[in-house]
Amino acid sequence: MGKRHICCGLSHLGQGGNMIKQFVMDKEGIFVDQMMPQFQLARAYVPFQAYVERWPPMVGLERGTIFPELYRPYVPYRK
Amino acid sequence: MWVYEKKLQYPVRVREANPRLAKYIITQYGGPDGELAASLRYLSQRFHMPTRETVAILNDIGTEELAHLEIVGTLVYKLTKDASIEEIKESDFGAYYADHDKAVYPVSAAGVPFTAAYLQSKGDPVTDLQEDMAAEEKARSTYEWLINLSDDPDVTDVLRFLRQREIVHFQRFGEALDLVQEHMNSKHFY
Amino acid sequence: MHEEQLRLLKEIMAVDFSLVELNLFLDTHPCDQRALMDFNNLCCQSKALRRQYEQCYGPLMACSDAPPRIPWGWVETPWPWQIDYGRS
Repeated sequence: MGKRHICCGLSHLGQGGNMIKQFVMDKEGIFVDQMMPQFQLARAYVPFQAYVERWPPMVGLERGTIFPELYRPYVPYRK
Repeated sequence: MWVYEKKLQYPVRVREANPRLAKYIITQYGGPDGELAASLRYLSQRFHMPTRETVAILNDIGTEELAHLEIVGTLVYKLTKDASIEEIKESDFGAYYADHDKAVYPVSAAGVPFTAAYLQSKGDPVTDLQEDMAAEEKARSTYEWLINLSDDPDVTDVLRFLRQREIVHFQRFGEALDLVQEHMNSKHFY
Repeated sequence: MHEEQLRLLKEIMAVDFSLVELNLFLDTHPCDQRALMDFNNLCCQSKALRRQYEQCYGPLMACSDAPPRIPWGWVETPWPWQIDYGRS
């Protein structure tokens, strides 16, 4: 992730994809970082979103986001 | 500065007067995890963000929160404007009515007036962005509990929209945190 | 509010919401060319829709494309919380 925000002109799709691949799942199902010494303990990280597709304006408004990958509708557990 | 637009970010409909529901929803106007606290938090913190991207995201999410404050205010206004005194007495809204009539006032669901103690502006961008991510999660949870309390499908529809915004904002603050941490690494702050 | 006015207002709300989303995305991805292109296109769409709305129904912003009139349209047209948005 080191050079992400200074790579103007490069697609964030590729960078976002790379970033996710840098996390490798171990036997216990925990994501560990094997390649990137930049990932440090006692820090929080959220993977960068890549611009893949967007919903048309009216669908986006109805759902509260235009990004399908960020859409997480709430399912009430009662009622 | 800001320029006002005579429109809501999302259309607000309600089925009928429902002062009980208004009494719960007011918490997202002036409560601990509400839109006023969110807006003031981000618009205050933005002055001390270290990169162009992170100043921009705090400025623009802080601005969007003002639009959400207006949506929540509209919900409370529409849910109470046609409520009769009998309906108010029968609902939890009576205590609020005693102090404010049907006016929109920043309090929590339990009637605690808004306080700046709900937010922090710490001068450390990593600390501030972690607070912001937590704030988005707390607001998301609050919208979920409000959805559980809602008996008006039109109100629930608005609450779902606002809840989804918290998820998008969380993602953006997470990206901002990454940019700040990288910036500080490059400056050998750590 | 008449059906056609409401329809146009909702269309503006939808396009402007996409603009908010792309704006926030571009804040943390300022070099994403596709997002920027979409943002610029939607920005043009929003301006055209606003011009159409303001010419027919009055100002969305104080400084607007609404035709001049007395009394001033800004104080005459409904505020967003006063509008009945109809059935969903």
